[in-house]
Amino acid sequence: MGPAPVRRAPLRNRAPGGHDGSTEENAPLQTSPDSSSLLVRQDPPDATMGRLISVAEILVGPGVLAMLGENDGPSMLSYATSGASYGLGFFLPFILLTFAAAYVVQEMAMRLGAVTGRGYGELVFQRFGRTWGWISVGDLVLTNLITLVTEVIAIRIGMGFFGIPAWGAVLSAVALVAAGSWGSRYSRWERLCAGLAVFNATFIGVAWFAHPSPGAVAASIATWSPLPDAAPAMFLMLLASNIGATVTPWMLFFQQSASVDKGMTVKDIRRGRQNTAAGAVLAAITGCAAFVAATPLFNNHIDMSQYGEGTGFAEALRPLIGQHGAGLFALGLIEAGAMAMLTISASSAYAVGEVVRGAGCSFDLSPKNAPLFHGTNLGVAILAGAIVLIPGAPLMAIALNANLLATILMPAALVFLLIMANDKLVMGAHINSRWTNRLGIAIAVLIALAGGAYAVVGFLGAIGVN
Amino acid sequence: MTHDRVGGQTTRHRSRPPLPPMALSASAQTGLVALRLFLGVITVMAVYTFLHPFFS
Repeated sequence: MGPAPVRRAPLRNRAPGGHDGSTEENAPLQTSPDSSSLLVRQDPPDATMGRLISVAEILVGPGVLAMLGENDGPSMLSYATSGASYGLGFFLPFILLTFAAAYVVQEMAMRLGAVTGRGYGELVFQRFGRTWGWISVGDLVLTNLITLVTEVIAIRIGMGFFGIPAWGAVLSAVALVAAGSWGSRYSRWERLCAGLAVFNATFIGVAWFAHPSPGAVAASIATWSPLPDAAPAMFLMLLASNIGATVTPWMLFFQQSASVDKGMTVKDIRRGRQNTAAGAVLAAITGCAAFVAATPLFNNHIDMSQYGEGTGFAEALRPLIGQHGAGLFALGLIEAGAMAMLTISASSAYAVGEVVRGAGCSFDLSPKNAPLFHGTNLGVAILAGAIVLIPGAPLMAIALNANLLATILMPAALVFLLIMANDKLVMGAHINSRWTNRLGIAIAVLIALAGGAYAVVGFLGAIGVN
Repeated sequence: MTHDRVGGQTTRHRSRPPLPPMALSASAQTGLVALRLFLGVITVMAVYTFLHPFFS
């Protein structure tokens, strides 16, 4: 019989807030004599239970939350718009590629948080100075606010399908964020997010109702064809929008800060990578499902412009995939928006809390002890809700352009991330490998090119230059 | 900059010393500023593209 099985202690109970795992807070933990101090000999009932716990730890964590959080309202609308506009073809493998890029970027953010014990904003402030720090936080707060508006839009569209009025949708969204702050526990907030994230899978159900041809799906992934027959501006907009649907600044801030808040250390990097990879795979599956779910609209030449902002895709899909499928799409939009309301408002709260001296910055702190953190968390949600209630606001256009803004501003965040991930002073032996750097630089360049190309082509069209 | 982060389910605080600023070369500083200006310009272009239908 082999050695007694070991398993990791719950992260929340380890190395609170720190990154070296050697503080007195670890005193209650027992140290395994032949391995990491974070491995705790316990008496797990059996190997099966141990494996289940291990899988659960991989599936619940900042990596999965960031990835599924980014499968948010505007992202799902962007994937669905691509599917409805061009059908199976180029965009399906392109979406998969963006999730691979997201893994590369988010792994860096997780590793920075685990090694330094500091959030992204805090590190930029300390290593690059106040000017760059405030610019980074300003970018984030701006893109987060616009993205939060689109999350409320998604919830409003989804609830509108079931006859719930706009004010009810806004109230629900704000109440959810308030519920996340309630209880003053990171673990409680994380479980709330994870519980919601499960329902991201509703898009898989919608794709099932759409009855896609497995052969056509496989062929489009293998051949990246057919290429979209589209005007350059429209094609570039969807290209940039799909990038912004998957790789965004808030995810960097969020995953790095949440990894710190969770108490991850250098010894958790391997588990963090597994968690991030699991998130990328799960989010890719559900993102592609949203794309596939909308392809019947392309196949049946449905003009989406005939559908109002308040009903959208679910209403358009109803005659094609049935009431149940359309209802699931609407539910999926509600979930996507709700999950992202929690993570994106948290991302803003982390960023502001990290850069204001003396402000508490953790879900483990009560609103009384961290008023700025919790106030930002709830305040941005209320502001986003108020914007959505403005009569006549162009909701669908805002949703697509929120992703574009994220794409345009992402290269700046990526450059800082790459510099910090190669900073030997703070990363030591955990700096980027050569391949990670190559991939990171390629991703930053491609995102900048996509955002720049759309901006230039769109602008020339807007001023009447062909 | 230093601030306390409270971890676990305790109220024990932990202070971290601030990290020193990174010594960026002049060319690196120039590169960051140039990137920022480029992103600023294309942001303005994208915002104009988005807004112009509402004002024309």
